[in-house]
Amino acid sequence: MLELPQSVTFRVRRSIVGTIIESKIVKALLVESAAVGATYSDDSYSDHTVHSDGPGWSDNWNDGNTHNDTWGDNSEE
Amino acid sequence: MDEPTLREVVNKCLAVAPNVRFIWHGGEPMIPGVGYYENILSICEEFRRSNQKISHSIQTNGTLINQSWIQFLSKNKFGVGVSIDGPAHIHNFARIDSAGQGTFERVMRGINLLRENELKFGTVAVVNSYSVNYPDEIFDFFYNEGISFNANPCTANPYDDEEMKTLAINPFDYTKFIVHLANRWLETDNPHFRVGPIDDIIKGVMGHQPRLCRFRGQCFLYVTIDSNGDVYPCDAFLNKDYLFGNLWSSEMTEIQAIQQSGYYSGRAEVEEACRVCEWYQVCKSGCMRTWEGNKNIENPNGMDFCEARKLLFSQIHARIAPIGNVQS
Repeated sequence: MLELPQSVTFRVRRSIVGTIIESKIVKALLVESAAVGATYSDDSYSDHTVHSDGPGWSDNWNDGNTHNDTWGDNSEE
Repeated sequence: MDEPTLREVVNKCLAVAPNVRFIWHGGEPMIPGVGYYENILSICEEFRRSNQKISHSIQTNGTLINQSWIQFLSKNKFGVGVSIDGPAHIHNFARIDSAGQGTFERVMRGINLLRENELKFGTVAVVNSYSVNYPDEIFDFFYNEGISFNANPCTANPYDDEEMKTLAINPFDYTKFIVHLANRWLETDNPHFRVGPIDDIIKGVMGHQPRLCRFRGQCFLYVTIDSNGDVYPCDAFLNKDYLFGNLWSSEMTEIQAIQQSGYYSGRAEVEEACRVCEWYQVCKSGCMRTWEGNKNIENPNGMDFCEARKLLFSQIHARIAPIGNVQS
């Protein structure tokens, strides 16, 4: 599981009526994207594309060289 | 897929790409047994090039998972996806065995084996014309079980059989369903529980790159290979109208050329029309299986799948709308 940096704050609109809070979910998703350099223009990100009809993660290479990807990991961390 | 075809497929796939992912689908891909996949791994090692990465995933109904499978999947780092649509009455609506019996209990037994053995797995819940009416029950089931899930729409093409068409949902119903799930998920504020494709949509509307192919416009990264070696664009298009060729008579490079010049070139035209859309970066014109079976679309603007997708992105965006930049 990626460690969330304490110095980063994401403020989101919690509901359409405007209550503003932090969202752990959004924060985690953005940290996850940043960890793999997932910008719109980054073509190399193709290596992280996953198919919609598969398990949902892309890095289970069986060469012993993986990074920690938590999508689909149902364990509590 | 018989042994000679397996060898041909593996050889030709590994010959053209630096890294290759195999996603084994069925029917039920666990029916051939562990030994079948041990043989596949041996064939892969035979044809693997220097420094080439190969990964395997299996998309299963989970009913045949036992300790032998657990050991094999774990040892060989197979990705596991289990198809489960929700609690019993929802799952059993469309997922029955050859005797007409629901499979929910057997699927859960398989999932529990995966969990007991701490195997990482993902789940796909297909949203059909019945389950689309139960977003709360589906969310509560998965959340209470601690099972992250990916809610995929059941779609049908004109050539599909009547049963499939009966199960299919329209894109607006899917949007309504996903937005409801998004609200439920965000209310939990639990980042350890994931609901796809909402996680990808949130990334997209906040300016980051989604991961699923259907939000990336990257059909070209995948092909589906049938048991006889026929190659199609995707598992949604196992139809002769979309056949690229057969690996017994064609090289993969020839298949790729057809893919790029034929099927995918049509996609490029659509993407060009879509570039003016405010949601283009998160949509990338979507998945071709939702294009109502039409591979001759030039501009999807105004079509149901397009309008429903715009509504989906705008509603998720309204829910997640950032009011400030990342502060460091």
